Amino acid sequence: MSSIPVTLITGFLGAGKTTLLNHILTGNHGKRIAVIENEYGEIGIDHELVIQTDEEIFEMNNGCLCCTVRGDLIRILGTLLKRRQKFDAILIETTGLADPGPVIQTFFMDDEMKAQLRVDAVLTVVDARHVLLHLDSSEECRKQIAFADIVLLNKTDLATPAELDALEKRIHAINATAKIVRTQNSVVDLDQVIGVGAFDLDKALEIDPELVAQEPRFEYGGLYRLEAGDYEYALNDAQGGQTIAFFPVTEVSHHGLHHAEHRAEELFGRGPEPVAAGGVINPEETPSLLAPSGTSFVLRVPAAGAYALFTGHNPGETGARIVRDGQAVEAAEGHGFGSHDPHAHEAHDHGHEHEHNHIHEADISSVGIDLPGNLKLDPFQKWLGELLQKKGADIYRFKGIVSLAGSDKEFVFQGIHMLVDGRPGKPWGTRERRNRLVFIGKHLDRAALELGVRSALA
Amino acid sequence: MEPASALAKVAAARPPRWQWRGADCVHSLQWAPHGHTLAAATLAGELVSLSAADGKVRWHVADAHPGGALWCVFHPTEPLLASGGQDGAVKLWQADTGQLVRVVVHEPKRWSELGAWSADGEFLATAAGKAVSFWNAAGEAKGRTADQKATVAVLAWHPRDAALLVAAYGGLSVWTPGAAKPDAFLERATPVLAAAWRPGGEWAAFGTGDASMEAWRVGTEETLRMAGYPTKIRELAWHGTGDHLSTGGGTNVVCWDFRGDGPAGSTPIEFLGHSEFITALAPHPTDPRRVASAGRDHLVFVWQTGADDPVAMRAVPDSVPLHVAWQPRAAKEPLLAVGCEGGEIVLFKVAG
Repeated sequence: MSSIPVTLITGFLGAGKTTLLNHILTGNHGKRIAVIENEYGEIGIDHELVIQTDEEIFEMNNGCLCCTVRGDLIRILGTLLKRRQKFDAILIETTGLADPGPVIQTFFMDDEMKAQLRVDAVLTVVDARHVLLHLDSSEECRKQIAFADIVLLNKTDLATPAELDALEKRIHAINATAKIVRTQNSVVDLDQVIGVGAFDLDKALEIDPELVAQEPRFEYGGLYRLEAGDYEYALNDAQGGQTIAFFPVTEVSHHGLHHAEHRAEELFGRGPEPVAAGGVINPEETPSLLAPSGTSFVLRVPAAGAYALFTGHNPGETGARIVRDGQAVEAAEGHGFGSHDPHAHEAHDHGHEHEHNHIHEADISSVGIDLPGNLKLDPFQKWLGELLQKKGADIYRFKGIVSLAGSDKEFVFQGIHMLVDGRPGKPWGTRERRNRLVFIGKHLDRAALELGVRSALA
Repeated sequence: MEPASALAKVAAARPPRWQWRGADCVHSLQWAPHGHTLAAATLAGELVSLSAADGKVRWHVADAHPGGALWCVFHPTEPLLASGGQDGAVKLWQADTGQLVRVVVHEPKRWSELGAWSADGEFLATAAGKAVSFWNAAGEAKGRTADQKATVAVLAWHPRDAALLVAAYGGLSVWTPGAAKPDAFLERATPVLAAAWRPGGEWAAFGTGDASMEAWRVGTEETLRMAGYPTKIRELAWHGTGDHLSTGGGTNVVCWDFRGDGPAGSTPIEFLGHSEFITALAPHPTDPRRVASAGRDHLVFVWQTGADDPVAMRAVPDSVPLHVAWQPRAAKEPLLAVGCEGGEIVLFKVAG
């Protein structure tokens, strides 16, 4: 039995979901499409088969998150599927407040649904003019973008090209893998939204290396002239595990900072070493991961000279400072790399060519990892399993194409929350064997995720 | 699925007495209390009344519930048929002529998913969404329950009393028509998909979405739970005297012995015959040892406690049987009606 594709359409009221539905339904595709619409949805769909439903979240198996499904969909689709005349596609429209997780899980967890239906794609419609407001104020809005395979950036006629570009950057900061389609009046080529196969591992999962390109993982870098001995590295409050790199440099100058920045990028690419609260930070070849609870650390300088300090958060936010004898040591050269870093304005304009588009989406973001080499199957599986077990609730979508030692094919996988689906993909052939993974979720710890993958390298 | 040739062989050896085909999936199949006619509701929106003797259509309403007719039930004593469907309507019909008597309620955009008459016929309970409404045989409103945690999934009247068991995701409750609060409640954090009173009325069994069967001594804290079924349990059948409970939730009919200390810790009887999941069970109307089962393998069996092999096997090669219903008040051997996914209603004679 071939399964029927289900497209999930999410988005806030007024974003253009109904217009999109109407556009799809009236398209000249000859498909028989059933629509399941939220009870409180916008009205105006003129179609023979529109069924309204009220979101009913069913927890199964003692509230296990990945077993949370939509009971209303199981009931309604169960009845629809018994009909003699079958459907070519099913569209499910949810409200702006609905959690897409249980909807998707319904089609993976429920045996009857799984046997007859498959999720084709999650389509999130956003209103180019109003979405900024929602992005800032609503976690649901960010979450719907996080879950999306396709973001329909709608009503583009109401925004300037520069605003649209900025919006796309913001959307990609949340969800690095979503395909963004710009539309007016939700008019979109149906092939772009139906039959996408976003959950289909056989359809050769692709991760655009551009989209998972490493963003700068530090927000501040400074060069300091330090004497031998111990300094205090103090923070205002416990700032929650930021990563810092501390290393000697040869030149204290604008050029020297530029040079140090490249060195810092290299160091930040390595797994950090944890440092306990009050612990010692040595100038190292690896960055230090400061204990989340710590507000004071020892910065140990082995010999007088010039040193660079690059930090995960900018000092304007954390109040981080280097202190000796009660006096804060000022940087000889300093630069902020974050978009909302107060230092960015006061720092010298040194004309870097780099694109520093690190945008803090505060809670929900994407972490892309791209490492050459091969992974050992057992430690990799163990790490991923434990990660999902512990952090699955905060991981909305993830996918990866990895190179397993001993296999001549890619291993492709993807999942939502704690559910994971994986299998061998294309042969590597002569291509460079790399590991590309993307995690989209809340409170993701980039350093820990990267360390996890790195630790499984053969 | 059984090989087509095997199914064809069984069907040829034991052909049905008659077969009728509706326009779409049979969603409800009911015998009239006198046992001479059958009524069915189909997802094409039809209501049909068929003569048991020859399968002739006594009456047929093509658009009784546009969008899909979901249920129909005969009044236990009056010639009255109630029905409901995806159009959100509950209707009363003259059972012998198919004349519409009354539209009891019409709530468009809500599916009327369930309906059941109380044992004495005084109340009709109907469910649309999270609440249950009560009506009398004239179609007058007689109260409404509070909202359940989720859409009501099961209605089951007590075998004698005006007490309605209502099950949904969240638990089970027992209601007296018109009461503001339930008489009893049992909380469950799982979808409850089936429920049935034991013939004596003291216990109710229910099947859940997490593949377990439970029995509840209604109104008490006493429950017992049998877990580990292959799939969700939608099929429950108390045998005539209430000594045995047959359950689906997989390919085997699992039959628990409720005599004496009950089934806790005991090994159930397993009737092995189906090769795909069971879709329906029906207790024999007179023989408490027997139960009929239908499966997605296109087969219908009749089982008997004490016998490993089925006492009867029938096949529906062209469709998946979803309902089985025994003829009530039969003089000798009751007939077995089967309602199918493709719209077929098939009547078998089952000699034993």
